[in-house]
Amino acid sequence: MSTPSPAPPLPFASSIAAWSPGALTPEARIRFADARSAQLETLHTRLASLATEVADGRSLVPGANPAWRSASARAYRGRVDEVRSHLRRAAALLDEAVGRIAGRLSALRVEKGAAQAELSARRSLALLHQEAARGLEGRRYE
Amino acid sequence: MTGPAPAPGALGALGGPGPSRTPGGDGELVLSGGGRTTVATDRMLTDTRRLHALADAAEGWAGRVHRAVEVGGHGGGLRWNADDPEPVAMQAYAQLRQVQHLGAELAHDLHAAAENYGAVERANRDRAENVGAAVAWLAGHAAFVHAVAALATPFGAIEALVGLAGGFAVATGVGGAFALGVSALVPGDASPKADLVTALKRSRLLCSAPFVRFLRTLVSSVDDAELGALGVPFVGARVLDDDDTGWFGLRGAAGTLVALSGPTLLKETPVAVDRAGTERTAAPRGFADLAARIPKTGEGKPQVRIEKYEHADGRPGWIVLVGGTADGALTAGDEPWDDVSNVQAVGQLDPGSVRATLRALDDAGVGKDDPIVFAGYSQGGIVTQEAITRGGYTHASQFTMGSPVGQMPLPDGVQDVSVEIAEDPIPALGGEPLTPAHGGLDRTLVTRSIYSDSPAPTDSLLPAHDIAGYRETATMMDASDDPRLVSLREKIAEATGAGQTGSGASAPGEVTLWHAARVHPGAAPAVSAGSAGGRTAR
Repeated sequence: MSTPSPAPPLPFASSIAAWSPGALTPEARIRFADARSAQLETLHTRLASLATEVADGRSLVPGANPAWRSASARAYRGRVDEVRSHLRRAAALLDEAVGRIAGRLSALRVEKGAAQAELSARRSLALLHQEAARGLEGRRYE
Repeated sequence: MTGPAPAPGALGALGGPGPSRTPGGDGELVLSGGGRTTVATDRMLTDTRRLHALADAAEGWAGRVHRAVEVGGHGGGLRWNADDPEPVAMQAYAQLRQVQHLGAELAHDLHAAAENYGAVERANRDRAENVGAAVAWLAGHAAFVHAVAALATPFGAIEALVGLAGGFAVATGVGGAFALGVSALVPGDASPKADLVTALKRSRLLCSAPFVRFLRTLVSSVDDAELGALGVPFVGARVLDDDDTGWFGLRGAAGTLVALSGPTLLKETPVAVDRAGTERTAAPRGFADLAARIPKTGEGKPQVRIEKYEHADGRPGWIVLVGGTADGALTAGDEPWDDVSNVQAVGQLDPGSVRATLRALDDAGVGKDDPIVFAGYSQGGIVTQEAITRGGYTHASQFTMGSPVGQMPLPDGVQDVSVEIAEDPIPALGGEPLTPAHGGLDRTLVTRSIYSDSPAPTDSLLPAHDIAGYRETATMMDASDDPRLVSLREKIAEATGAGQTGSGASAPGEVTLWHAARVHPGAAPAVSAGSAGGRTAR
């Protein structure tokens, strides 16, 4: 009696490997996609409101005072501009992070669908293997 | 005490080209005192508070990003991909930490600049005061030396006595008369002095900031000249400085002037007070409302306005507004708001305007423990200060505009905001402010230059003393969120009961206007046109 040969590697495995070390089983990929989606949704909730607050926080940065004309005042304005620049960059990065979350959630939905399809295919293949094995076994007894 | 000027802060001078220039040379509000050693423009202080708030906010935002990424992170040894959101969020975290760091650093530097402005201003003031004191002492001492030398001559004792008395009187008189001269020019352009007034208008001398500083130093140096004339060594004169003793200086000079000026000049009279009218009014909300309600004094017009507000708990609160000098006379006429009262008040003697105001307060039913906000313009500021001190009002606050009250102490706990236009010589007649050791930092002083960028008009003798400039400044103060100014606005709300209603609104107040007139023995006192009865004398 021989054991069934292992299933051939599926085409999805290469894309899974891009965001996880090594190939995972479809079940693991589905679990991962669910957990990661939940994480990202939490992150989205937190970062989206924060991005708005940081963008609004630009109103806290002092504006230029035309009455201050000395060299020190110019240096002061330069440093205020630096603060404003960092804040603007932070707000832009948070916006980008929020945008990426949406993209990743979308990709995870695709990955999960693929993993579910692979799982279904594997199950079908296993059934076929079983049926084929049973057929071969019956023919041997005959 | 003179010390080296401290180095400018990391930001140096924001308002001008050099570190010793006081900020705010362009119509900005400059705030000092109120328990602080800083001198800074309202804009600098606002920026400092905003930068502190921004640094605190950035710290909070960075913490939230960090926690969000930690909670939502992969964990389990998995790494982020290049298109994951977390690496970008962590870059935002780093930027927010930069905002926090730079914002806090900038706020600290602004505060340091304000501290340095304060230190430089105090050092400059000390230097000017010491130089002024030395010059004044030398002038006074010259009279003393002359008197001693005269002792060796026939009739020397008489000459020496006359010389000493003359030196003392001149020392007292120069500052006092000079100050009075400026003050006496205020009410009108009467013909005998018309040419002088015209020349002064054209020269713009009386509304130049350097002249105002000179006048302040001159007035503050009177005590040193007096002590020099009495033969007191310079070191001794400095030890006996008016701040410590109150025997000399402006107060002593005013007292001496009153004593030496004969039987009628600068002599007080009884005053009679009439209730000149009543009306209803909405509660004032800030400095601009107070400034707008100061009575405009003049012949027969009320000098005091008292507003009563019934609080929700049944207790009353009060707003008391006192007008400025109405008559520049040095001899008592009918008007108590004259220079007799000015000199008497500076000498902390018995000014008729103060007695009249205290009588009006009593007649209006103002309680000693009621919340009261006093507001006065010019002489009105002297009057409110003396009324608070003599009246024993325990919950009083004060707002003065263009008043020479720099050396007049207030009871502990009285919140006081004074406004001075930098080109207005009238506040300078009060001399240099008290030193920090003698409560000089208790008063919140708001200064503003109005002619640094444009020339003063020549159609008025003292345009910087015009109440219009102070009203404009009061409006700017209402827009400020400086805690010292916010606090006095809260006192106004407390006095009008606005804080008790929840809506921030007050019930309308009941206004009584009061007119006072001097009473001359044997003569019928003047009665105001709108007198509503209730005359009382004091």
